[in-house]
Amino acid sequence: MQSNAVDYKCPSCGATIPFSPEKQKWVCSYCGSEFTLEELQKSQKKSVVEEKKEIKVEDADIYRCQSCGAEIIADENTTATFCVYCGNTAILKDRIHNSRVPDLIIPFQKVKDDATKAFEKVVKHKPLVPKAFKTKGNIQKITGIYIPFWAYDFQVSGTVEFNATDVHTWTDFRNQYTKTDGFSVVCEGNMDYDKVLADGSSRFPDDLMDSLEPFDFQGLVSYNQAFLAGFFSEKYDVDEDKAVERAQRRAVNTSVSLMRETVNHQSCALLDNQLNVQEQKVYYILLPVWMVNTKYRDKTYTFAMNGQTGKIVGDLPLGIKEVVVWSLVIYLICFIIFLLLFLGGII
Amino acid sequence: MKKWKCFLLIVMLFHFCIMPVSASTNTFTRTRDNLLVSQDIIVTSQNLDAILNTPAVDASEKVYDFADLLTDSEEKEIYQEVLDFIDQADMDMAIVTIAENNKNNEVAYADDFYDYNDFGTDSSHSGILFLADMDNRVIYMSTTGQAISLYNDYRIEAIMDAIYQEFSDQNYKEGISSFINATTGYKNLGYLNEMEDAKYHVASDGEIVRTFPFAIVFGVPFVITFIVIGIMIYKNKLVRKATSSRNYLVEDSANVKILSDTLTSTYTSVTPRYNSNSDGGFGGSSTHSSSSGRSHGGGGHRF
Repeated sequence: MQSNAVDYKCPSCGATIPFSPEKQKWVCSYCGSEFTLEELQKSQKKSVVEEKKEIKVEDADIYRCQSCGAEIIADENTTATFCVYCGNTAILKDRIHNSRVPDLIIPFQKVKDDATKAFEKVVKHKPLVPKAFKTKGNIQKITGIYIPFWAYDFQVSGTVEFNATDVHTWTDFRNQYTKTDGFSVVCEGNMDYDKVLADGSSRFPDDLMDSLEPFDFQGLVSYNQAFLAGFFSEKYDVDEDKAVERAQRRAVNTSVSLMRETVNHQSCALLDNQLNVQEQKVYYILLPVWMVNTKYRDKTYTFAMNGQTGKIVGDLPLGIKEVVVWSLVIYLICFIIFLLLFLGGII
Repeated sequence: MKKWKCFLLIVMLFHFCIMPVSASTNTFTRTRDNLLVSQDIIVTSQNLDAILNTPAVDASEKVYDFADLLTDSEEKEIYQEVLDFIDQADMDMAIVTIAENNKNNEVAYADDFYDYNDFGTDSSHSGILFLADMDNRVIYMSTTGQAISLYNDYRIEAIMDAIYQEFSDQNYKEGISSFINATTGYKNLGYLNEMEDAKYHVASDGEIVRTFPFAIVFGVPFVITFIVIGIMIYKNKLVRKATSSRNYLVEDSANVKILSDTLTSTYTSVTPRYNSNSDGGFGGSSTHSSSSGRSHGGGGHRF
């Protein structure tokens, strides 16, 4: 099925050879050998010739979570023992069948330690996070997973009508005058968008996936199953026709915003939008995310870190005690300042 | 010996002339031929009756207790307090109480009494007259000259609010003393802008004291705390919905032009500017003209 699929066994010793985000190479954990994708591909061709063995992308395991329904893909050497999303251990192993092969992938550039450090750093500087939550022990699992995204190339063209307003005021010795002029402004334009993202996973709210952006598309490479070695991957469950609506909305919003910027009036409100969005191309992309599962007071908090840029997202818990203490501290500080201002005769 | 007797007589007469008459108020009779007004008062048919209806008094007495609200000793004390004020403030002061008001209102009575008895210390006749009108149950202060600027509407209201209760309670001496205290206090405070002025109020004894800004000292920190905690809670949420795709816009691909820009409506509203009746500068009080034509400020309070 996939012509460029490679065997991710070490060409030197035959052990499993995972992708190393730090070195951006495949590093054998047993013999220490390092290989680039080209070297692995060469080795694979050789082994195919020698052993006449073909690895297909379908030769992957899929784990279905009985709790949240997530479908996690792992290579035959990676075993999932819990759901990377909800932490549930009730998962069933199955074989993948005729899944669509991703077009592009951004390989992991951040390692597991980066995710731990980023999480700890974010938590450290949030005073309202409960103290107990800040301790390391709360991080239960950190898992590298490729999340499926759809990326669309759009061409947007058409006209947009705005209601614009200018207000001028002036005074003479008797009166103040306020002149309000209303305008009807029609803008025409066209613009192109390259790979507008919409996540293909229904596992997380869209805004959580949105928050992982931006990804640097300079890091996009052709998909190769070898990149999955050592990581999990999720199979998309929102198809491209459904996800395109969100991407189109984003493109239209940006186009309207660009046109609004050309209107040379003080304020401007959208009146009518006649924009046409043409889908030029769609890509199935896998993007790297470190999922950080934490537990606090029997509740699971899941955070996601952009595996390329290190940006961490997720909603941190609020500590009632911390909120009360900080409220009192801020109030007291302000109160003392205002009291001193009064005593100093300033207020 | 004759010379010595003459000298003694002159000394006695002089002493008699400058001694205040506290126990009773001396009034003189005005006639059409002898109106007993200052030369700079222009007498017209419009103000003639006002002059004739205004008691003529000795302007040096300062305390005119026609309503007999004060004992002799109280009058003496107030007289001394008034002299102290005049000495400190470099402006005149008169205290008047009346049982019946033969004028239209307390304002006309106070202004006419001040103008037609030639009070005032300088060319602008600067000074204050305090009137306790028992007929209308109102206390009123009339300001003239420099006093108009010094005692703005805010200050007059603050003084009147602080002392009217004493008159309700028939503590006339205390009320008048508080009035003199307050006017002295404001004189010492000098000219302030409105914001600065609002920081002070008059205590019931007439002392000018800083107002403790409860709303600011207690309320503003509450609002600040609410906002800061709100921001901190917001920052705990690291999830933001994406609505824009600007990151994916192909560079230089945007080609936008304005097809039309048409004026559809125009409207001009006119608001009259606030026309202050104050003297400007430090604010001062609102003013009016008395029957003599002079400008006065002032304000009162019913009790």
